Amino acid sequence: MTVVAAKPNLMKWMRGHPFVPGLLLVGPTAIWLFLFLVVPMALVLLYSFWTYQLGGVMERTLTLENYARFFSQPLYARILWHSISVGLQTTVLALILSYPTAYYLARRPSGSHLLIFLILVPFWTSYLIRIFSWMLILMERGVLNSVLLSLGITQEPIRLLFTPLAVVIGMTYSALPFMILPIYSVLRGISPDLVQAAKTLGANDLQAFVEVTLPLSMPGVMAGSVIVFIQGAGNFLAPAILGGTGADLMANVIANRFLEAFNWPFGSALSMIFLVAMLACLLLANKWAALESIYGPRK
Amino acid sequence: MIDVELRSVTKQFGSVVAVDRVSLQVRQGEFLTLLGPSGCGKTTTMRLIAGLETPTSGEILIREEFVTDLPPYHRNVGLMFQNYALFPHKNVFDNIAFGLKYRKAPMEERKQRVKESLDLVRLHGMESRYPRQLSGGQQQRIALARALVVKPAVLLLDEPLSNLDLKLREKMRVELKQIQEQVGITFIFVTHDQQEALMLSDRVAVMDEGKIIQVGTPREVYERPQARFVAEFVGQSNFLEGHIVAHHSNQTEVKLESGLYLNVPAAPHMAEGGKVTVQVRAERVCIYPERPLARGHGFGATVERMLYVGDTIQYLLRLESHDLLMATCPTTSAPPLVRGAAVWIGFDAEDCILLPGEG
Repeated sequence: MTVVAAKPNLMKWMRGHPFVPGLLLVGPTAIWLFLFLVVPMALVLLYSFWTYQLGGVMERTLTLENYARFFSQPLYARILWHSISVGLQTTVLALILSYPTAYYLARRPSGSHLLIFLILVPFWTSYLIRIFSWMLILMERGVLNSVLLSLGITQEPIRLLFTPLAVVIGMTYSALPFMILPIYSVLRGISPDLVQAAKTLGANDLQAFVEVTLPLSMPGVMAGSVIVFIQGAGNFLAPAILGGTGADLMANVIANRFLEAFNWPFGSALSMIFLVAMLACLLLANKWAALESIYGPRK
Repeated sequence: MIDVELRSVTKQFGSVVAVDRVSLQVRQGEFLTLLGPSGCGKTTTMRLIAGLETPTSGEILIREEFVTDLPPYHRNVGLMFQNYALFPHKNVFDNIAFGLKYRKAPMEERKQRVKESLDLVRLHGMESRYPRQLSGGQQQRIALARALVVKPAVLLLDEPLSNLDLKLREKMRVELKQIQEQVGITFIFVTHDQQEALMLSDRVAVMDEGKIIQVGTPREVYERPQARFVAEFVGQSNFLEGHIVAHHSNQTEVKLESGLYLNVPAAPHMAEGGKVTVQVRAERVCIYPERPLARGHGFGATVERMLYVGDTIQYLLRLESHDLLMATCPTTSAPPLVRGAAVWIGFDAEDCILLPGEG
């Protein structure tokens, strides 16, 4: 009874402060993100306007030189474009591979828990190890070439490892769960009645898919694509391990500026440019897909 | 002309027989209701006609053509789903015009017919709205318009009124019947609501455990049930077990297990000594302050319980023979009784329906 007696006071106080529960729920995350995301980003933004001195010293003289350097040397724009292009290739390839799987899983009447579990199994090993294992598959005397040679499909080993294609293959592999799961979950939510309604109205299976299932699954497609694109375009490990020398993406170049050239201001400027470029891509995708309008204007 | 015909259609899901050798003919322009409790196979029967399921055995004909192996999009059927199944990403026009599009109707005709069907369901000018901007009742009318606009040979309706609140449901019942008469399309209506079935239908098919138990006009089903299940499912009745004692010239005499004797309408086809169930509808049992001499049967009873329903009052009455009877009286003519009051009840021989006995 004593515990119950204490409650009315607390309840009464809460009634006067309705924002408290929300604050308790969001507060810890907000503090964490502020300290370890917002503050570092602000510092990176600040560094990107400082001046680089030989030997890795940063001088607090404000300058636009770091940004000017990006735009004056076509190499950097090319790497930025290459990053976005690799991100897009990974996204498209992962989408083509994932949609049928997600569709199959969502339509299975007996549930798909075991199969979903199998899709998630690779997460139990580290990303680094999984990317390394792709080296064993793709290298000149690796698994893939051995199979192709022994089947007589190719006469001599194909050079796959240390090519941009190897990077896309490795990244697509690790992107699959991130693409399958959101599409699966959206497809699961589409009532089978809608497809059946389309069929009783005269649409065949393919037409019913194109008219009903596909457009209604777009939120899942977009969610998966955004995650995979960001992971792909900003990837560091796959290009570093599978890509060889010519296949650097923005993340590799930025890491190189910081860790090898000790040029923090230029590295910071590259980070900022990459961030803005990625945001622009997302904005473009959002405008093009106009997810909000799938169900018509708001009431 | 017969619009829909089922010939001994059976549908099995694994070891479960959902539909068991159902044969049925639905005439053109008829309003036929499949009535039964959930799990009785009525929805599966409807889905078989639509082509959303294929029968394990048997044949289905639509307008005298075999459609058993045709997919839904090659059968000329409309289907209205319980949850309406409007396409959420298409506006009202595109929802209704969907079927016309796949029947290759030119744009001008589509516009004209969508407009006409919106007028039919009294939602004029709603073409550009999206489903989520509509109320439940409006969504339902759009679903009806979408199914009717293609002029199907038969419209199947899967409990279309069950998601509406009571007032709207009563209104939509009347409207649905009006629209059906106006367009003259054959309706096969699936419901578990016996009142709905009786009010709307030309004929009712009562289903249980995958079988059609009885098909008939609402009056036949209500007044001359052929099985205990039908009698029990439609309306509120008393069921008294007994056996036939003797057949007289115009009446049959039954002795109940409790020892009471009842005279029921003559049933010479039933064997003397055979077990029977006597059905007496609750609204046929009347309550009197003293012995009703004018009625065929009069028994003394005690009021055990009273339920005030509004327009009626239900009494639970214990007879001196310990039989328990339910009586429903209109509130206006209901005697003011208290629990434990001693009364007389009366009903006539014609109020008794003889059913084959259980087991």
